[in-house]
Amino acid sequence: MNIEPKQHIASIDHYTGVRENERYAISQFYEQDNPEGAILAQQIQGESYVAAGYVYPSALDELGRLQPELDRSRGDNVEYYIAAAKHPEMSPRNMGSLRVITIPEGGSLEDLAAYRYSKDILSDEVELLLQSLIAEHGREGVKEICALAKTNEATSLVSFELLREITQAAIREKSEEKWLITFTSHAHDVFMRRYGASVMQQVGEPVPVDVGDERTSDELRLVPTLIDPGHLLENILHDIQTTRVVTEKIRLSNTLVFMADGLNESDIPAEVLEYIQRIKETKQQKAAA
Amino acid sequence: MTLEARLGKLTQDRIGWQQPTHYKLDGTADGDFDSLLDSNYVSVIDPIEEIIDDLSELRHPNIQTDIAARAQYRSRLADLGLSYGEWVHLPWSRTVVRYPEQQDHRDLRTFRNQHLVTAEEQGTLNEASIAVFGLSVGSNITDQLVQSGIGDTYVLGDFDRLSPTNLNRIRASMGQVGLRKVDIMARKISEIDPYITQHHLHEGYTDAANDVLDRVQPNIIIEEVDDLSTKARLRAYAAKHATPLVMVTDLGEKSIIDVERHDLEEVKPFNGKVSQGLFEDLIADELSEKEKRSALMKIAGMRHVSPRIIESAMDQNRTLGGLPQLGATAVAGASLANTATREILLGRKMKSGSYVQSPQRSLKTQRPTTLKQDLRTYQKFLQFLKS
Repeated sequence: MNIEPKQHIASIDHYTGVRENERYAISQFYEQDNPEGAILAQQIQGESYVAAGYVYPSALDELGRLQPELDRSRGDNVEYYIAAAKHPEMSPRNMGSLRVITIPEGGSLEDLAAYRYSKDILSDEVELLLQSLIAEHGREGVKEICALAKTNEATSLVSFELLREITQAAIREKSEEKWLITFTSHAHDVFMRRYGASVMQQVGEPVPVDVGDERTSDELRLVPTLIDPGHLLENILHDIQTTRVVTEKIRLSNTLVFMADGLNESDIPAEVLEYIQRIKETKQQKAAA
Repeated sequence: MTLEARLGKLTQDRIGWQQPTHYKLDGTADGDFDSLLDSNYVSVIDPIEEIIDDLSELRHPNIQTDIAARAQYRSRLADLGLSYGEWVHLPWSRTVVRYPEQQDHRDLRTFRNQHLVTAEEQGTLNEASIAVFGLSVGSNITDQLVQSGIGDTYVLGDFDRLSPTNLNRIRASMGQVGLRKVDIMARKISEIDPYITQHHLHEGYTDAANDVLDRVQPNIIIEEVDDLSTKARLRAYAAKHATPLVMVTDLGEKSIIDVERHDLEEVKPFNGKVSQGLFEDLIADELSEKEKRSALMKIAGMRHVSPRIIESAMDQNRTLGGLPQLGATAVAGASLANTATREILLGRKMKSGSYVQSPQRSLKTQRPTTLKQDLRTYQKFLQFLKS
């Protein structure tokens, strides 16, 4: 496996906003526009999935990518995101990636791997909701977020920065798209702690995948989850306001500040903005004291 | 007589619709016209100047080269005096209005369609016979069809009367509340074009209505009734007589139009949304409330029903007719029906099927409910359907 960081992505860094806390430069592209970048993202995924124990090294090809039949998120309708370390003191191999799948023209929910994995265990109301989202907003009504991965040198921060990037894009565009994500059970727990139950709408029981395939772990379970990125900030705030657990309130408040970092005030709902300003004032007062 | 009694009597005297009387002031029946003016309180509207202006433009459109011809044409029309056109008594409004001659009137009121709709196409559209059942959503469709110059014969069916809650989607006024919906539509048609022939079915679609339909042989049936059994029976009639049927369903802001080309092919019941067995049960009207709800959802397409409509349906346990409807959607749906009707009448491509128009999709508007709320609503609704 040979990951050459930044080699294929330095020229396509597209983020121009200002964030107080940002450790990664994020690039976005389609495979057909940047095939080398796609290989890099697929290599990050291969490294990440082996390290996490989801697949065994035998699942990878000679370039360190998942064998094509195990990677169900490739194609013209797949948008790649790569996060590369921004600061010189960080390892150049400190990277992460994710992908966004849009239903292709004339396609259906069946074009989303996450839907195919989980459709048999989705309840009728979830199925109805997904169909109604497509009926109301077209094929862009439901997208899949997948292949969230990081190199061994990176921490989970890279995944949060990647999710922040695409969430903020949805907020800025006032997008009505909803995301269907199949998290591994472990990742689901991590994100649930960070974002709260209102953001992470679990819509089915964990589902096993690739059972019987010797290249993959039989322990792997995917948790189908729906996220409404356009209302993510309000949903975090809702959980902050309703939880009685102080540590949870603090953790969610930190997530809220992190997720809003870099958005224009006009893009942030008034009640969220007010809450964030209160947090910042409190911090300043404590620092001054 | 007390004031209350007088008011009561005057209320009863209200005229819904009566066949307008046409007068030709060419000397043959002027006496009748004199009597009308003498015996009734009528106001007279004579827009002859505007008629002459527009007719001269219509007949001599090239103003640069035909100034003399236009002047001559104007003078010829003016010379006809009172004998030009027809004086039409509209009893419900106590007015007498001078209309242009029949062909002139048709040409004038479709003048601005010219080129978008060719003269030959307009002629075909003018001659159509249309049957409309259900005059809530159907009133908007009829409005647009008549305005577009489609149809010289209309069958209007509805048993209902206008209520104040209809005013958000039926283009009517408070002064018409209590009138039969058929009469309100009939008035409007007569006022737009008194030459249009009308047949009224005040009981809606009953067995007796078949006689009228058999006689008129409509080119298209517009079905906008609430009752599921009636919907099914109208489809059975359309299939038997190979008559195309168009239905628009308003779901929140979304319009769904069903086109059924019974004239071209064998169409499965409700475009295949219900089975043959269920269709026959609907015709027999032997379904329980639960079965009706389920059938209704199949016909509407459950995925198109917004959570807010669902909340309303469950909250009130309402019938289809009592569900919330938006006036803007009624108009948008009517416009779809207008286009479909035109294409069918002109023999152009208009396939059987369900077509959806969603302003949210076009304008990328915001869904007013959250994921969590939607999931809860759908869950409750699915239980409700099973209950």
